[in-house]
Amino acid sequence: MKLLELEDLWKRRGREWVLRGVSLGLAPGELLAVVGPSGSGKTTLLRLIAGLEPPDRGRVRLLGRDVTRLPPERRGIGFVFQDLALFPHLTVYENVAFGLRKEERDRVEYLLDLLGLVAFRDRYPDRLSGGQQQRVALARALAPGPRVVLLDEPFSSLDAGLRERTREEVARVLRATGTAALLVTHDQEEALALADRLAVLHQGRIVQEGTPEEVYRRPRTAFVAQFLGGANLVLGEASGEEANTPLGRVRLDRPARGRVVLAVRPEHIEVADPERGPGVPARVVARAFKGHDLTLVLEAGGRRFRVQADYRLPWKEGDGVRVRVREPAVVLELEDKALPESGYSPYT
Amino acid sequence: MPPSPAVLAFVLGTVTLPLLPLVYLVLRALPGVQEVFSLGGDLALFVRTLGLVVAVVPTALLLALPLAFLAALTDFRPRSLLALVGLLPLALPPYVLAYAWLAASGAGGLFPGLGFRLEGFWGAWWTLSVYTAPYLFLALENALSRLNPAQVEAARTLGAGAGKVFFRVILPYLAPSLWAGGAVVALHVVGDFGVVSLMRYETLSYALYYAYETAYDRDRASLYALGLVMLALLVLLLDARFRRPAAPGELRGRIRIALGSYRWLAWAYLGLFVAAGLGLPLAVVFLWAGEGLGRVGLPLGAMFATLMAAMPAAGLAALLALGIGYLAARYPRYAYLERVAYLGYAVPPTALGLALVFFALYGIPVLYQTLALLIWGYLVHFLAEALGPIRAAFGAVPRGLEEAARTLGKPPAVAFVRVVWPRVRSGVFSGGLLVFLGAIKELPLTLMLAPIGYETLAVATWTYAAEGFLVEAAPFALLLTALGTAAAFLLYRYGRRG
Repeated sequence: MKLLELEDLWKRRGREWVLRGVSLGLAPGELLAVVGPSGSGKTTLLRLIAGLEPPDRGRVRLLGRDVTRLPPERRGIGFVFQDLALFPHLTVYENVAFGLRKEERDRVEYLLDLLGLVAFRDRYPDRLSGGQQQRVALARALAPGPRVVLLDEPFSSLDAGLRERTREEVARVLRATGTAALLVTHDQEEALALADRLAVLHQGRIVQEGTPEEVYRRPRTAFVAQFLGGANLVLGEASGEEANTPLGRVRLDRPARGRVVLAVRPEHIEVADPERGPGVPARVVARAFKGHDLTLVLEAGGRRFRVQADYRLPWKEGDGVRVRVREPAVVLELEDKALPESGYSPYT
Repeated sequence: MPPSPAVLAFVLGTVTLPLLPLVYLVLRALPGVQEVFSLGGDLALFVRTLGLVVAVVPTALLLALPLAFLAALTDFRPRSLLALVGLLPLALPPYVLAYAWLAASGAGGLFPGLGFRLEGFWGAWWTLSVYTAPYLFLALENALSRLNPAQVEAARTLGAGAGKVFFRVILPYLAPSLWAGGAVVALHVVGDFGVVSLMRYETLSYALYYAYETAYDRDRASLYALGLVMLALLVLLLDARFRRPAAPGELRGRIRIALGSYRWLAWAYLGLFVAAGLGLPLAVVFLWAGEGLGRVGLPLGAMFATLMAAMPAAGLAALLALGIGYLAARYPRYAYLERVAYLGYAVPPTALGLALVFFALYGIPVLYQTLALLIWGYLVHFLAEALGPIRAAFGAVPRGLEEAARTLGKPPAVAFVRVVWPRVRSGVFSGGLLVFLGAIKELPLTLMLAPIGYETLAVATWTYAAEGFLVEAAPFALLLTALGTAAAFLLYRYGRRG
């Protein structure tokens, strides 16, 4: 049985529908990440699950029981707020103990220990670093032993280095306590690294669901392709296993015919010498050195594409090169009738 | 960089202003201090004063809490009506409130149907509670409206019901504001003279005034003054001991509880409160003003006297507070100047009046019985009020703005005028207005420090009312209230824009 089931949740804010029929399931111990750009309805979704707001339509089930009308204090769902919402007038210990009865205080010690907070137990939140506050918020949410904890952009307030460390820490603690988690984030890297399963939320709908690898490798729509990893959208004329595109002849992940929109990952485009190399001619429009790799913007057949390349490549702005797609391109479903603008992602 | 001579002189002046008179008071009172223990009867004064404080603070809190809750956390409309509640004590002096309740109740009163006469302890308790409740309302409303809804939601996701949310999250969150607001109310009660004298409930302030003014017993008066200063210090110490710094406000979406069918209850409560604090006094004053005008004429002289003392005090206080605010905002080492200003505010006005009398008599005799001494008193007592909005204004001018102007080739004075002044101007104006509002109503300082025969609206209102000429007091009270309302309205308009 699913631990948590969302059935066709709808929610309106004013005249606008923020959620339009979201259905999702969460298995015990699973970590599900819901990703989407800001304004896609992520926070609203969590608030409905926690019971902080009622849905306009649909149901929330916890262990098969309908909890849609239950107030938050009777659901037993943990919540880590985006701004953490630590109680400023309580110490670390008191914050973590807030949701516990007196006889359950042992659990505070366990969680302080698990999250490396023992040394800070008597401090007030304003005397903690961002990472420590983050850990207190997680400890507080886990203290009453919820089966599910909801995490709302939990790492957005941390700087890059700390974010990665805290992320691993959170994953470790969730596994150690056997707690299932639903995490929402706009950071695709975070979602890919952390989640067992991924759901992409766009304009109030789940547009794709699957393991991070599946969703990343086989995006269904142009939005997903661009939002996760910033794929290039390429228009082409398909004839079975292959298609003609501005990047030359490209193999397809599944057979298709006629006009198609393809997703081509920046790391799947090969750049070679203009004289001897294979592929079609292109011109370097911009070059950004990123340390471990190099991002080039190329123009081919009147369109621009982004390429992730080896940092040793010598070409500069204005140079001519040849390009070739070395992996099969993904044939995308069209979200609506209009063909999306080809080119590189506006999301990354 | 060592401070310039101009800054030094300013700092010295600011510190001298309140401290020098207090030094004179202490010097005058100390020789008689051992007598305190032989003044058995006077200990009762202490107890009576403390008793009034202990009764008024919780009552004012109970009166204010529902209003603050309505204003900050519900969808009550119109909100401006609740803002009006916060302005009540600005517009209406407490002794006019006392006068009105005296006039309305009792056998010869306007509304004999009330059946009882509000006087003595209960009269002082009720009047001061209604008068000071808005101060608590402002403090609580401000804190509640900054309550991060996520705090409440976090508590609920942790299994807390309504009761636990209130006692474990909201109440502790309010604690700093409760302490701060409670301290302000306590200082008001300790320092109050007008209400207790009209209600004839003898406290230290009341006893001091009569010892000084009618019994000419300056030894005894100075002891009472010392007692008052100690009480005020006690309030400040308690406040400092128990108050944790307020949690930084996080405004992320507000809580708006729908009142639904409880709306009429909210209206009824607000109506009763406004009737008690504003409606009744206005009704009394208007009812009797016509008849009173026939007996005493239009009190233009008193109006003029009021303005002549209050306007210079307001201007000087605004200037002084501008200097203090600037120094304290830019150089943390001058932060103590603000505390000096608050000390002047905390010293009960009767004690401050006596201190200034001693200072003038023994220090600078030419000052005695001059308008300048009265303005000095106003300045010391109300400087902190001007500092409030000015401090807030400086808080909104980061130092970088001024430094940017300097790097663009502007000398300090030009940088100040072009960059800082436009942004603090409205704060300085509001600060001056607050001092003006305080000064026109101020009673004990005016009674003790003004030259003989110098009769302001406040002095005339109180003098007539204290002697039972309630009708004659009405025109003065009316004019005073009108002046106060006009100034409070200006403050309200200006504050909204600022």
